Amino acid sequence: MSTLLTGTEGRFSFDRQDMMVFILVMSLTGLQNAFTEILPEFTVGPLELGVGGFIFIPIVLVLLFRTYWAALAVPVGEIVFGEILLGEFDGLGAMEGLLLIPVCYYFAAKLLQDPENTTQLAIVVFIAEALEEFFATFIDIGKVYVGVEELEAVPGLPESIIVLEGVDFITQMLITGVIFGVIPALYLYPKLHGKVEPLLGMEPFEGERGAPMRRGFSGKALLGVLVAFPLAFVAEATSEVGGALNVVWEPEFLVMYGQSYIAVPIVASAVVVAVVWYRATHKPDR
Amino acid sequence: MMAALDDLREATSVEAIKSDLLRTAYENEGSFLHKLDPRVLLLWYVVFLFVPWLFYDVTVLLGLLVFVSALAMLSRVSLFLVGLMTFTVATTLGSYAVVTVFTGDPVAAVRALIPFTLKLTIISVSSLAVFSSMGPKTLSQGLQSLGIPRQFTFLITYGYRMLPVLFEEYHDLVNSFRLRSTAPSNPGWFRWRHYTYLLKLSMRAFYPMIFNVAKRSRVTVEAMEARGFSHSLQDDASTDLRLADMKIRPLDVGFFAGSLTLVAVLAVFI
Repeated sequence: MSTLLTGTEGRFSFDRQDMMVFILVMSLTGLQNAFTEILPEFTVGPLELGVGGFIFIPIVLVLLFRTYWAALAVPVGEIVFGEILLGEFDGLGAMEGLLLIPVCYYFAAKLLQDPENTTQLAIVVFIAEALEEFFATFIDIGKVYVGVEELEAVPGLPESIIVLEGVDFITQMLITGVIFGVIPALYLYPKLHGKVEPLLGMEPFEGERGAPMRRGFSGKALLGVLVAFPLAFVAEATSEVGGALNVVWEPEFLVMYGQSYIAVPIVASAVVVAVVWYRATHKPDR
Repeated sequence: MMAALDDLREATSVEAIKSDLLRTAYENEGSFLHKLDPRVLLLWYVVFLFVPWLFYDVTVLLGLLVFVSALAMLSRVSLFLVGLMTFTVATTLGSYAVVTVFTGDPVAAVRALIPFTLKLTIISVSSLAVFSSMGPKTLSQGLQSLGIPRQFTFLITYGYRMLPVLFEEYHDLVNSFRLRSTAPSNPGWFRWRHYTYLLKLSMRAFYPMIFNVAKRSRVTVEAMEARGFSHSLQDDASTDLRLADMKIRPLDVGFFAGSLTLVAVLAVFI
């Protein structure tokens, strides 16, 4: 087993053990995601009444392995299994999950100090889900604000967006967060703790009896959360940059050039093509 | 009438949806987009992520939607996914309208939201077309040539390979749990007792699944190491060999240029 532990240099090294954990978390998150995708669901617009996902599986696994890579495997699993594989990939929107989920889960996982303390476990699982859901709601609201031109001019629309997203946040927290999050996690974590880790040749996390949660409060992880949120928002909003530019350009541009301003996106995409092409053909020396 | 209902039930059964989704993931060998180079396809996708945002005219957006829908038809996307998407779009608009009845003017709200929704739909349809017509090998080759580390492109291929296996295994576990337990004798209103029972069971079936997957992932990584995976990561010759059979042909260039021309034509003449 000692051979497996070689190659742990640097903070961001990705060794064989990390790879095992990554594959494990990714496969299970993906399976969970693909399975709950098939389940019948009552969806009304942004409101989801149904099994959003067996969120307890990824959270418990991240709490067991407590590495950033384990947390990163959660959105990757969702993207690979649930989106790319089934062709539901939504481009930059996936960036949101890729940036937000790992930092929120990692931050929460670090807070768990005493694995035998049920209250702590429940709070940690709740925090992980609440953080992620809160930021996601925020981004959803912002997305409509960026994407719909003259939103403020339509009476009642901004309010209705906030109402719908707010109700969605609450139902999501109740259904996904508590019924399929905290409650099953309380059963699953003690059952897996100390059993799965040895299968991958790792020591289980011992923690300390009676250790307070604030000991695990990591400034760096919190900073990660605070940095990831604006980044995720930018990723979401980037896809809407065109929309934002339209508002600025529209009047003069249309008067001056008519619809021939289409040259702009074509030139822009040609530039993108050239850059990517260069990157793909001229490999930098490694 | 009954026959139609039976057909509907048949088409929406979990088993049918499962095979439909797996077919989307695997069997698109012959489709038009599948013949293109993955790099060109990914690039086309990136361009089409941005193109819809440059227009606000509903007619142009509808034209774009028709174009990407035609591509999606050519790449034989799953009907279930298309249905799911249509339903989501319709209910999103509907729910905003319902809530704005109380807060303001629903007609104006829907009118303001239509271009936005159309743009999102164009992007979703083009994602469906692109990603359901790319096989695991082509996709990971394409991503690797664009600079994504090999560990991660490997994971995509692994995911494709494993999904049906995991599905099967999970299904077996659920069935064996069902065999060893008793369903509630009284199904209750709307069979809610029955559904809760199934739901609980499918959550419990994940417990043995976690150990299976843990063991499998360890074996996978060890087998890869035995074949020199980490060593090949640093080796340029291995990368070159891996990407050698990708070629940009006139068809690719034609497709890309054709799409852009179509966008230009739509913009200028409509």
